[in-house]
Formats: sequence, structure tokens, C-alpha cells
Amino acid sequence: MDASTEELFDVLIVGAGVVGCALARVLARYALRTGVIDREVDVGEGTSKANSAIVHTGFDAKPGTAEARLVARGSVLWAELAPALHLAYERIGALLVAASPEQVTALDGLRANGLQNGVTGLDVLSREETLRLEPHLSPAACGALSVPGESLIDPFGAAIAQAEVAALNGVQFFLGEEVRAIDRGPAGHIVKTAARRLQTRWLIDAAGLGSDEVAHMLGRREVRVSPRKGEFIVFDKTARRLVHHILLPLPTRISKGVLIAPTVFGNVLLGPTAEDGTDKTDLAVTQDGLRMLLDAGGRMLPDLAAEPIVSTYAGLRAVGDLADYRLEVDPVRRIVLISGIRSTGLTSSPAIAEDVVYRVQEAGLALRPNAAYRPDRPAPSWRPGHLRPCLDGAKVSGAPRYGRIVCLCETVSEGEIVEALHRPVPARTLDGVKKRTWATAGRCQGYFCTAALLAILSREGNAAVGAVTKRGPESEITGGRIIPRERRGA
Amino acid sequence: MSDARVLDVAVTVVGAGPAGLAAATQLAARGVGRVLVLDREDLPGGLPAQSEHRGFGLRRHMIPLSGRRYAEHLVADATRAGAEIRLQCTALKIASREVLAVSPQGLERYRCRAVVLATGCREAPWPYRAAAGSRPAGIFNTAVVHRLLTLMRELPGKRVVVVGSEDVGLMAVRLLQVAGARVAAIVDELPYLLGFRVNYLYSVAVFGVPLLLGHRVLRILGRRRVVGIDVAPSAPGRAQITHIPCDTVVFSGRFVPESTLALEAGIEMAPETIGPAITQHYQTSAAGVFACGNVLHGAESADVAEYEGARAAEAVSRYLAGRLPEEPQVRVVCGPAAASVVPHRLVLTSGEAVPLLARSVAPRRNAVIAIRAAGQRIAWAWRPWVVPHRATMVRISVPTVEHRGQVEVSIRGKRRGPDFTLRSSAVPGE
Repeated sequence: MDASTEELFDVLIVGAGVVGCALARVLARYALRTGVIDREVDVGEGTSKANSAIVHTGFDAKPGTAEARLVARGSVLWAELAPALHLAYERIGALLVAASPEQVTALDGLRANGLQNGVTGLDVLSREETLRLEPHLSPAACGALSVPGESLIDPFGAAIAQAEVAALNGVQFFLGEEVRAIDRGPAGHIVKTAARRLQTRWLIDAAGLGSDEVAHMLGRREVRVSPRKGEFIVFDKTARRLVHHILLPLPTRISKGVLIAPTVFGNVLLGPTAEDGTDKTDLAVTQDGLRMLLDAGGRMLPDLAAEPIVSTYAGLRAVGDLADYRLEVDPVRRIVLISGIRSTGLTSSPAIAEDVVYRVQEAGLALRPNAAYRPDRPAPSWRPGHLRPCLDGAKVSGAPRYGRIVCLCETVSEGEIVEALHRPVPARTLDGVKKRTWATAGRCQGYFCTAALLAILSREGNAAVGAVTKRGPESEITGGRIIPRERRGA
Repeated sequence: MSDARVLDVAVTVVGAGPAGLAAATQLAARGVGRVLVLDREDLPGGLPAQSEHRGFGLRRHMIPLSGRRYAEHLVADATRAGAEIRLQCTALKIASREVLAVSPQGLERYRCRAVVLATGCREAPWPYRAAAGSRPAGIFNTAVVHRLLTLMRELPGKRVVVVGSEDVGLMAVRLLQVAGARVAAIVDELPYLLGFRVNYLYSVAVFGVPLLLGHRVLRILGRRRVVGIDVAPSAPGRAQITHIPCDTVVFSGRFVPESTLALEAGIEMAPETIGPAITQHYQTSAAGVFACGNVLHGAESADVAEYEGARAAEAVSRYLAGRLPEEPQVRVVCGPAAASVVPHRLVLTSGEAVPLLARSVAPRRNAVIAIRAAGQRIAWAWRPWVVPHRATMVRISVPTVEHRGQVEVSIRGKRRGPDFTLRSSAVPGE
């Protein structure tokens, strides 16, 4: 065992998704020793990275639930938090589109539901008004509920930015380390990974899809999380002209349905599907899923069918065993369980963090302000929706690497890539660079730049090209050096 | 967008591949003024400059040169004629009289009288073709594989499946095998080989690599790194799934125009190719913006790109002299079995000879390519065969004003059957 065995944390958060990162940011305000541990080598690698990238208002949540309360509160918090964190966030509003006269009658009920959840600005629109706002909608649209508070966000940045604020204020991140066991110790808990033992007074289980496994280690065998897969299609930026709002169908019992939304990156997103499964690592898109999405997308927005597809992906929502979020604070054992956050965690994470920290204080954790706390982080030289640094002549003159374009489709310069590799929470993988700079995410999907990116990652990380990974161990990009023929075995 | 150095030039050419260099050479030789060629790479010459294999420049040099040698000729010609080549310089925005570009030397704005887009093409990204599966590490296209093998001396993987049987895919098989990787199979959803048979023999058959024609990729398997792919016959109603274990999948061919600059400039695009729509004078919908080479149609041979570049230069110099007619125009459209055609519009100038490049939707033997204007056949050509990924050039004489109405290209011929002679009987396994 190495020296870290002796480290003692006040709070250790298991899971560096958007919820874990939000908790880390809020806890960093206090004079506490806080740590975050995650088995992935980057933050926000689970449900947090493969979702619909929307901050919801909670207009359709079931009133009275923790989810309804925290989504509504999260929506309010993000509006302030996003600009402060230099995070791309666009309040473009949503239209909940009624596809038949029967659905029009349901709009009033949804509006009432939204009002009950404290959502303001809801408005039922006529067919004409709806089509005026969204001229590319199918003429079958019969009207819509306007939800002006629904917003777009950079989902990767949501986790990264909060983690960076936390890291800059002294929170320690243990990434790429899987929790193997949790034992009781003199101070509270001993968390064991392959490399170390961490002692902590309080333990917060924010492990998303893995929150049941962590709960089981804590003896809470009844906690269950199952994956509900959502597949998405990303359309080329040329499709952006077709969509001005987030377009939602009427929700069903299990899902919000297939939506069409612009992204802060300028693309258009179609998804998700909703398939309940058992395999928490199955991120495969399926032919049936994609076909279903294209059908649904075409019904709502017929012109979308002709737009080029840039990419497809699947994410897994963490569906719990309760109808609502599981948010439990155990003051005796000093354990917090956060589980079953499903698809709304991106929105509710700042509110969950606020709520949990309040309740942990109630349960006896002394919160003294961290005198050195700074609520922001250095602004990255690019964020979605803003001009690239290569367009700033003075910047390029001062630092020529901002003039060396690596990713052509998204005009990402070497400067932004090097920066991403040296941020407070640095990218350590090709996917990490993609999430922070959008390199390789354009219409050529890495045709021009993958080789150059590998060279930069290898150089900056002082590692062989063969050691560069897509998302951590066992995802090495290449198969290693070419062995000269004369040295090859038989 | 501030602090850009402003330079006044006559013509800015974007892309120093065969088309761009040929255009720059001709323009500089005609004395139009300062001609600037921008290229984002470290080396000029486009794709040929990165290719060691022979087969380039047959039209001009009479013998096939290596790509690198051929590119050296192009660069020498352009430099000798007086064109200036700027490397590591990426065009960011184009407009009618202006190109904004950045390089490690700084941000520059070139004010010019004409812009020539010669940005070439690239392979279509794999999500288009591999509909299902996960997205692990180990998925490449041939451009990345080529760079890994030749510039970085890295193997993309140890056991590879190549998807696509165009020449570029066949040659990737050879490169990988020679570098020490094992190619488990080469797969194409079409039932016939797309590349030249000689390349198949030299690059694939010689290594005993199985060829699976008429098979499409159903899904890619693997959580973190590829562990295999499932393929199945593309013919409907046959669901026999073959699993091929591999750690790498290389998607090859299916070249599409690299048209981001044109798209963002709002230039009218041809829906068949998603490349800029042009007249026979290589003029796009934006005044003073011309386009030539593979950005128009996807990959053709370097000879074709060079030829188009030289022709475009002639049109640009006429434009600069105020002698390029722009009206009246008729559209050129794809009729039966024609997948795409370049140019997309014809300016009705009497008797001008114009090459049309037409691609077929599927291979045809004994093919007749017919060009009709207002219903009357104005030109035709016979070819022993046509293939969907290579255009056939038909020279026409531009119809006169009396023939107004659209010009239609159609292709007739005998359907080509599956290449049973090449069908591999061995199912690749462990």
C-alpha cells in the first residue's frame, strides 16, 4: 500500500458524473478535505456524456416529487451558473408539439402541470402560430405548448467546468480508479481501489449507473439501478436552419419521447429511444433504434430526412427502483445515496448538490467557509457557440499554435488542443480532447485530424503514440510501433 | 475577427493538390497578377504527395510516376510560373472577393479578384455506413491508416477488416500486410469488386486475404477497443451472419467532396454530390468564386483534377478580363441511371466544346451515355463498362440558344452480375 493509505477525507464522492462534479463544486466552498473518485479517466463519462444536452424546466415532471422540485430548481441555478462557469448555455425554449387534435386537448393539462411545478411563461399556441415559429414542422402539427425556459447546454462542459472549479479550490480527483470495496474504518469508511485506500468521514454515492454496486458495498442490497438505453442521431450543421426551438412530442409514461433539438455546437440532435436493458456497458446503437428515430424525426420535421448524418451514439439512463430519485442521507453511518437520477440529472445536478450539502450539514457535518474559495475557472480560449481563437489575429500573433489548424471541419487549432491537455481537469484521452474542443466531432469525423491529434497527445503526455487511448485503458488507438521485417518472428 | 493582415492578390487558390496547382500554374503563366495557393498541409501536392505508389500523371508524362514524383512536377511547374504556395495555411472563410486564412505566421485576409476552390475530397465517415454497433477505439479510414503507417510508423492494429473494395481499400490491404498487420478480410456491400482487378491480385490475393463481396457491416463489436464485426449478405432476405474477429476496422473509399468552405459561404451545392454546383466555366453561384477538381465530384484520378484545374484557370482569366459570359444558362440534370454530372449548369455559348463528367448509379457493361437537350440527343459516348465511383467523360458541344430547356444525361447498359469468380469460399475465422 502506498502512502495515500493515510489520507483522510471529510467527504469522498464516488462518481465524477455531472452530479458528483456539482457536489464537488459546492463542497469546495467549505473548509473540507473533499475527494472525487471515478473508474473512468475523465469526468462525466457515463450518463452525463450521452444525453439530449438540455436543461429542462421540469414542466412535465410529476408534481410533489423530489425530481420535480430539483429539476425546477436546477433550471433556475443553471441560468446563473452557466455564464459564471464560461459554459455554453442557450435559452432557446421548447415547443411541445401536438400531432393530432386529441393531443391539443392534452396541452392544457400539461400547462397546468407545469404551473403546479412553478414553471412560468407556458403558453398554448395555435397551429398557425406554431408553424410560424417553426416553418419546417410537419403540416400535421395542430398546435403546441411553448416552454420558453427549456435551454441547451454543453453537457460535457457541465461536468468539466464544475470539476475544474472544484479542483482549483482543492478538491482531489482520483480518476481511472475503480472502487473495489468499502470497509468500515476508525474515521468512517475505508474506500479501496487497486492502487490505494482512502479514509473518509462521509461517503457520497453518486455513481450513476454504478450507484447500486456502490450501495451494495455499503450493505444496501435493496438498491437497484437498471440501464435504459437512449440512442441518438447527430445531424450536420446544415440542418440547424430547420430548427429554432427544442421540439418535443407529447410525453409517454416511460419517456419524454423522441425530440429534435439544436445543440450548442451547432448540430441538430434527434433522439432518444428508450429501451430497458440489463447490460450497463452496452452502448451500441441498433439498426431498429436508428430506423425508429428517423421515422419519428421525419414525422415531426419532414425535411430532416434529407440532412446528412454526422454521427450516432447511445447513452444509458440510470433507472432506479423507486418512482422518484433516491436521495438518502444517513446521519449515523454518514452515507449519502444518490441513485435513480434517470435522464434529468444534467438539469437537476446543481440543485441536488445544494440539497445534499444542506442535508449533510443538518446531519452534523460542520461547514466552515473556505476563505480562499474562488467561484470561477479560467475561461477556455474557446467554448461552443463562440468564435474560435484562430479568428483573433492578435491571439495568433502572440501564440502561433492558435494558427495551426488541426481539425478542419470545426477549425480547432493546436493551441486549443494543447490547452485542453493542461487544464485544471485535463483531457487525458482522444475523447477528452473531443469533449473539450470538439475536434473530430465535425462532418469528417476525424478523417483529417486523427493522426495529428495522436501526435500531439503523445508529445504533450510524453507517451508513445501506442499509449494514447480513446477513453482510458484497453481503448488504445493504435496497435503499437511497426516492427521492422527483419525483427519479426516467424 | 480582428487584426488580420490584409494582402492584395489577383487570385487565391485554396488547396495545393493537382487541381489547385494546375490552376495556379496556368493563371500565373497567363500573367493575371499575384497568384496565391494556400494549403493546410506541411507539404504541397495534395494526396499524390503522400503516395509512394506508381500510377500518377499518365496523361501528361506518358509514363506512370510515383505520387510523390508527380506532385514534385506540379509544384515545380507552379513555382516556375510564379505562383506563391503558402503551407500550413488554412482557409477559414471565403467570399466573392476575399479569403480569410490562418497559419502559424498569423491571420491574413486576401483581397482578390477571384477565388478558386480546389479543396479535394475525403472518405465518407463511417457512421454513414456502419449503421449499428458501439463506438470503440480501432475504427479508421484509409487516410488515417496511411498517415499512421507511413509518417508515424505505427500499426493501426494487429488484425484488420477493410471495408470497401475501391483501389484505395485494396492498397490499404497491401500496406497493412507489409507493415506486419494481418488483414482478416476485405468486405464490400456491392456484389462486385470496385477497384481494378490488377490491384486486387497485387494487393489482396497475393496475401491470401479473403474477399467478401455482397456483404455489409451489420455491427461493430467491442466496448473499449474493437473485438470484431458482424457482416451479412446485402441481398435482401438472406440473414446469414458471419462474425469476423478483429481489433481494427478500416472504412475505405466512398469519397465525398470536402465542401465545408463552400457550404459555409452559402454557395449553391449540387444535391447529388454535396459539392459546389458549377457552370462549364467552373463558376459557382458566388460571383468570382470558382471550383475545380475533386471538390466537385469526389475522387477522380489526379489527371482529371489537373485537367479541370487548367480549364478552370482559363475561365478565371477570361473572367478577370471581363470576357466570361454568364447568361443565359440551362441546367444539366441526371436522367435514368445517372448518379451525378458535372458541370451542373451550361452557359449557352455557341459551339463551345465542354467535357461532361457523368457517374452511373451502378456498374454497366456495354454502356451508352447519352446527352439530350430539350429532348434531342446532342451527344453520346460508348464505353465497354462504367462504374459508380469513376466518372465517364463525354465531350459535348454546348447547345445553342434554340435548344433551351434542360440538358439531361442518361446511361444505358447491361447490368453487371456479381463477381462470383472473386467470391471467397473461406469464411474468415480465428
